[in-house]
Order: sequence, then structure tokens, then C-alpha cells
Amino acid sequence: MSTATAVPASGLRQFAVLAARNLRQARAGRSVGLTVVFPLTFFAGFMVVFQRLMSDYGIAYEQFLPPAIVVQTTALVAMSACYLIAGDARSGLISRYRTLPMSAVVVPAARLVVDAARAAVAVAVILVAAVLVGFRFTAGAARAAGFVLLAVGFAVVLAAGCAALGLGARDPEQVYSALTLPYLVLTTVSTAFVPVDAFPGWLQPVVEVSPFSAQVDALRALSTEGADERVWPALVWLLVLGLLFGAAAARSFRRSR
Amino acid sequence: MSQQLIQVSDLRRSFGATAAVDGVSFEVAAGEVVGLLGPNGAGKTTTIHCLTTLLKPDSGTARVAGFDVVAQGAEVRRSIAVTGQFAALDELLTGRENLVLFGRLLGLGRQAAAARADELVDRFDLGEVAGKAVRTYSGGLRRRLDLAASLVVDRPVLILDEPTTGLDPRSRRALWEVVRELRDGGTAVLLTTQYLEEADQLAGRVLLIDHGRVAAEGTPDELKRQLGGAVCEVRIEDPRARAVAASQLRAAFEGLTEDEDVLRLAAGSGTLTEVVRRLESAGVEADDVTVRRPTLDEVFLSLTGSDDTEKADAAGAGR
Repeated sequence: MSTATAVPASGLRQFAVLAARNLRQARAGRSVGLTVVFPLTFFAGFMVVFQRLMSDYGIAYEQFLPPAIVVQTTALVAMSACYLIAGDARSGLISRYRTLPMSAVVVPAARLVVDAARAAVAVAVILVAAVLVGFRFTAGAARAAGFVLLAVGFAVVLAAGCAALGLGARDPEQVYSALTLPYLVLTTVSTAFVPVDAFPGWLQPVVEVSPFSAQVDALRALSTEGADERVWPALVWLLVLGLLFGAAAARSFRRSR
Repeated sequence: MSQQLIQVSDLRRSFGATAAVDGVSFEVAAGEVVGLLGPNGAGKTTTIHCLTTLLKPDSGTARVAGFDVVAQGAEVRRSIAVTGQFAALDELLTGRENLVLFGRLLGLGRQAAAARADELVDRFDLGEVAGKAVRTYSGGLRRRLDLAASLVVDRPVLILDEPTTGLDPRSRRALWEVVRELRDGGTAVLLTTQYLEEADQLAGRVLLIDHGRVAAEGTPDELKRQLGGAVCEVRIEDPRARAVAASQLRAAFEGLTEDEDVLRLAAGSGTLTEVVRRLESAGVEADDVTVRRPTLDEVFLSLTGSDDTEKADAAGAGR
């Protein structure tokens, strides 16, 4: 056979090649469609059931609920990242990548950049639906852009954690369903669907420190003229979890078991 | 002696209380094919995983192309081509796209990757299916494409984990041909297999692996001699006739064993003629008389001892 002598591939090229492949996988799997169906259904259901009740308490639910649905959606995007990368691990593809000269960050990074794109599309779909029922960005374009960026950032950070789990998993279905429980707990035990004072007293501190509460509160603040102090906790969480989960994902790839 | 490209010394790796690899040592030189032969669970794949940096050894050392697999993993990965036990391909892409993908990941430019993919498609006779998605491929096709994918760039060391499991005879031969070519070009090849024939065909040296240890080592011919060569089996369904035959044959041969309706003994030159002559003179008509090579099962049982003493005895009779 003729020789094919390769120069070591740059990490950037490997990243681009794998990102293109992951994008194709996302489109072939219609993964955005699947990620938004559940939140949209949820959105419609909650609006029908609770809008009038909440307005009795002085809460404009069409303004209150969409940031929660956005958080729910970004969490689902992250969970599907786990599913997709665990599928690659099961097929042996990840093992092959591990035997190739590749930096540990390439595979997770190529996963996350596509997850960011998926999250952006999913968030856009939710926002269109929200605007249709009366949701408005009342604080201008800059804060609206901040809203989308924060939402996508949250999706990427969670996806990094999920990818770390998925890389070590053998069974995509199993690890995905294992994530359902923390997902349900974290989204419900937060300020996503009701304000903090609706929780029993002993649970309120938990609700207040939850990163999901921080995220929802920040999104609400960005969609209105909310105080900047309500945005900072979410950014701190984003940074801390980003470093933690990012390192975990790289470690999980280049793990010598 | 040419350059040793794989050097494994007292390699050990446990999973919990189970020692999967329990003190394995061997070397593979440039231009040499070494076969690790053994049953499932013998420790072959664990050894391969240590050499390909997928697993960290508990103790012992392993060097590939001169690089330590623990301390210099990145350099090792730049020196090896690997085909794992299960075809590691992108189901979503076509066969050709897979080859281009791996070429690009390994540093080939767009055009070079495409040219190399076409070349490998020809070499591995994948022309008809190269444009179809891999998820539509049969097991044999996947294995072929998988091997092609690991050969996208030239590496001094080729590591194959059961490369022909699930392949049809024609594909198996084609793969052997490729391995021989690479060997002749100076590649060091390490392969695992469950098939004695494959080790026989390809490997200059064979290590029999059992329970994480090297049970025997040598050229295929040396090992076969050690195993005592062929086995003669006489099948007689009628128990009375079988008893007569057994006593007749015991008078002439040592180590005769009975296994249901089969009498078994070690076969040397002239054994078959002698057996037939003795059966005729005793007036016994055998249902079947055969001389065959020991099976891989018997090879292992004879070399490693076994829980199953009856079978071990039968194999031991081959000595």
C-alpha cells in the first residue's frame, strides 16, 4: 500500500471535523424537535391550569413562566448531550478516539459547541411560543441578548457535566433515565414555577441556593428591568460549574481506568 | 535482532479481585507478527487495552515504539494503529465518509484524506458499499471498514484485537494478506485471536494466554509439537463391540480414553493403519475412524490443566 504520512493534526482541525460530524448527527436525529416538544407541552399545560390562579396572586404568569420553560429546555438539551455521547461510547467510537493522538478537550468541546447551537435554536422556539401568549422583553435588546446568551451558557455548562457522565457510561438509555430524577428535582425545587415563599419554610433555603433558581431569577431579571444583583448569582454559578464540569468532561475522556 | 517495537514486562492489571493480566511479558520486533491466542476472558483484550493507553496497568511496564504507555501516552498514540474488538465506526456516516473522517482527524488534508479513502475502499473491496451508511452494513463489512479505518495513516505498530471474528473466509484471507504486507514493510503487528488456524497462518510467534498468564510460547510449529500432534478417534455405537475394541487397542496403545461412544488415543505415524488392522482382526466394525488435529479447547486444557478432568485427560492422551 502506498504511504500516507500524516503530520500530527492540529487540535483545532480535529475540533472542526468532529463538530461538523456532531452537527450532522443532531440534524439527522431531529434532536432539537425532540428537546422542545416536552417543554412546549408543559408550557401550554401550565398556562392553561395556572394562569388565572396566579393572576389572583398578582403574578403575570405569561411573563413569569417562560424563563422557567427556557431553563427546562436547556436542561433537556444537556441531558440529550449525555445520551448522544454515551451512544458514541457504546458504539466504540469514543474508544477509538482515545487511541488516536487527540487532546482530551477536543471530543468534549466538539460536543459542546453543537449543544450550544442546539440550545440556541431550542430557546428561540420557546421564546417565539412565549411571545405568542404575551411574554415580552421589556428592557431592550441588550438585555434580551443577555437572556439568550445566559440561557445557552447554562445549557453548555450542564451539557459538559452530562457529557462527563455520558463518556463513562455504557448504556445511553440507562444514563439518560438516571438523569431524569435530578432534572425533575432541580427544576421543581426552585423558583421556576412558583415564587420561593410558596415553598414550606424548611425548604426555602434549599430553593434559594439552587443554581436553577439563580438561573431562572437571572433570566427573569434580564427579560424585565430587574436588578443586576439578580443576575450575578447565575454568572457565578455558570463560572464555577463551567470549570468543574469542563474539567470533569476532559478528565472523563482521557481517563486511564 | 531488529528493533523491539513492543516491550511488555511483567504486566499486571486487576479488576477488583480478578487478576485479568497477571504477569505477562513479551516483545514484538519490527517486521514481526506476534499472536496472543487464548479463550474469552484470558486477558488478551486487557493486555491490548494497556498497550493502547485505554487502561492503566497496576504494575509492570509496557513500552510501544520505545514510549512508556503510562508516562508517554500521547507519543504512544502517535505510534499505533488499533482495531478493537468491536467495529468502532460512525453509524451515521457512509463507509467512505468514515475513512475521510479518520484521515482528517489523523492530520491528512482534505484532498489527501479523500485520496486515501478511495485507495482503502479499493484495497478492502468496499467499492459497492462505500457510499452507504455504515448502519446498513453487515458484521463482516464493518470489520473490514474498521480495519481500513485503522490503516488510514502508516504507523510503526499495528494492534489488532480479534480482527477476523465474524468475517467470512474470503474477507479473512484478504485481511491476512494485508497484515502480511504490512509485516513485510516492517510494521510490528500484535494480534489476538481465538483461532489456532489464524495464529498458524499469520504469527511468527504465538503466546498462549490463560488466566492472565503466558501458558506457552513459541512458533506455531513448536507449540503443535508440544501439544503432541493429532488425535485418533474411533466411534463405535454398539457398547459390546466398543468394549472389545477398547481392550484390543489398549494392548497396542497407551493412554486410550473413552468419551461416551468414542475411543480416543494419540496419533503418530502409522497409528491409523494399526488401529484399522486391530479392529479388523477383532472383527469389530467401527462407525467412524478419524485422525484430527487437537482442537483449541484441547490445546488449552492440555497446557493449562482444567476443572474438567475428563476432557483434560482426553487432551493429555495426545502427548
